Amino acid sequence: MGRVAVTIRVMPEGTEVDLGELERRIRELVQVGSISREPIAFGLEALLVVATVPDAAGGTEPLEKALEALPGVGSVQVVGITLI
Amino acid sequence: MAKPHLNLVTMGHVDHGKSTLLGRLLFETGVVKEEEIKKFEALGDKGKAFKFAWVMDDLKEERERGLTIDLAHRKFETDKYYFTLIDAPGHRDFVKNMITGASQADAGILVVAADDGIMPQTREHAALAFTLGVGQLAVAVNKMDLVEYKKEVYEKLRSEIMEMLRVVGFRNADKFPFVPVSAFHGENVTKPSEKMKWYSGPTMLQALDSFVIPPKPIDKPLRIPIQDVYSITGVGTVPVGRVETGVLKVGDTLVLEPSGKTGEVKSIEMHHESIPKAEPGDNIGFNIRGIAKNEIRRGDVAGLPSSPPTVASEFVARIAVLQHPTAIAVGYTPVFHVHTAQVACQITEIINKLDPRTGQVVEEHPQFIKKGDMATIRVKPTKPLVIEKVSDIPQLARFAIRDMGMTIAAGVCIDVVKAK
Repeated sequence: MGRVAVTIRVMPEGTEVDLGELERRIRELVQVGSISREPIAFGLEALLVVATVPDAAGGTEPLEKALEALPGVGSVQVVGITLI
Repeated sequence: MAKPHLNLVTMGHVDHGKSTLLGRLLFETGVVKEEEIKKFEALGDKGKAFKFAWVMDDLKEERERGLTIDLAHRKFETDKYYFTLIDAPGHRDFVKNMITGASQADAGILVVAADDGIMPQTREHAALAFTLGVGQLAVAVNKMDLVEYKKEVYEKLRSEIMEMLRVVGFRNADKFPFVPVSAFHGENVTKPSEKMKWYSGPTMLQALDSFVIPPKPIDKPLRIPIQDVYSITGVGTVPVGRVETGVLKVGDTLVLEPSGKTGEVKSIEMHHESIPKAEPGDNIGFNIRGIAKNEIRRGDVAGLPSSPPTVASEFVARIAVLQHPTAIAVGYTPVFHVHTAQVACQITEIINKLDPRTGQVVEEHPQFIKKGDMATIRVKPTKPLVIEKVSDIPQLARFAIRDMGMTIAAGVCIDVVKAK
C-alpha cells in the first residue's frame, strides 16, 4: 500500500499564540510536507499542515494526538486525505 | 469565465488499477509530461508495465521530499471543469477522516477490474461513497485488455455492478456512466477505443464531464457544527465551524445544542473578510452576543430556534462493521464520531443483521455482529449528542465508530428519539 497525504487544520488556542513558534514545534515533531497559514476570522489564523503517513499504518489518530498535545494548540481537524 | 471546480474521489479495490487510471488521465490531459513517462519506458519491460502507476509514485517521492506537497499534481481540467483528485486510501481507519473530514467529494470514479470483478473492497467503497453523500459516480470497468476487450464480459460485470450500487443505496445507478477501459493501454480513457468498437458511450474523460455541480443544501435547516470557540479581544465570543446546511445571516438569533444557549449573530467573517451571510461549505467564524466562550464547546451544533438541532436521547442506525478483532454485542460502548462531536454511545439493541450483497434481513436480533456484517442497531449516547436522521439532514447523520485506536464501523442515523 502507498502513502497518504493528510491535510490537518491546526487551530491555535487564541489570537495571542505565536504561529511562527508553533510552526517550528510542529516541524520538530513531525516530518511535514508543507505548512501554510489559513486566515479564518477576526484576526485568527490556522496552520494548514500537510504530512504523509503510510496507508498500511492505518489512520491519522497518532498524528492528530501528537499535534493536539503541543502547547498553544486549540484543536486539530483533518480536512483532507488522499493517497499519493 | 473560470471553469467550475469539482472534488473527485477515486475508489475501488487496491489492485484494480486506480493509480494507472489516474496516471493515464493526468498524462493524457497534459498534467504529466511525456518525458516522465519515457523515463520509465527506458527501464525496460517492467518500466513499461508499470509506467503510469509509477508516474504517481514518482510524484509521491517528490512530495515526500517536500517539493510539491501542495498537491498541485492532483488537479486536472476538462472542457467543462477543474477537478481535484482525492484518491481514497485502502486502510479502513481512514474512513473516519472521510466521514468527519471537511473536504466533501462532489463526484466519484469507481474502478473495477474486468478480470477480477466486484471484490469486498469495491462494495465497501461504494457503500462509503453513498454514506458520504457522493451522489454521482462514473464506473470504470478497467483492465479490459485482460479479457480480450470482450463485450459479454463487460456487459455481465456492468449489470452486476449496477445491482451492487442499487443495494448499497444508489437508486439512480442506472443513470451512472459505465466505461470499459484499459488504463494501461489508454483505451477509452480520453480517446475512443479502436479495440472496443461495440461500445458507443463516452470515454472516461467525457464521462467526467457529464457530472453536474451538486446544489448547495441552502433550503435545509441551518446547521453549523462547532469546531472551536474563541474569546477575541475587542470582538467577543467567536465560534468557528463550517456551515453544513442552510444559510446564516448577520442578525440571526442562534441556538446552540445540546446546551440550548441562545445568542445573536453580530458579524460573520470568512478568510478575515466580513460577509453578510454564510452558505454550506463556508468555513467561518461568527461573533455571537449573549453566550460566553465557556458555554460553547466543540461538538455543539448551531441552528435557528425555529428548527433547532436535534438532541438525541437515543437513535437507530444502519452500520457496516469494517473491522473488529472479535464481535460486537449489546452493551458495547465505543466512541461515535459525528460531525465535530466525539461521544461514547452504548449499543442497546442489535435490531437485525443484513446481507451486504442483497440488503435483505438475514437475522432478527442476532447475539452479535462482526467484521463484514451490516446491521441495524439502537444506540444510547452517554451524554447529550446532536445527530440528525439521514432523511432530514444527511450531512449530520453519518458517523464513524472508533475503539482500540481503530475505525470499527461506519454508519448513518435513520431514526432519532428526541431528548427534548
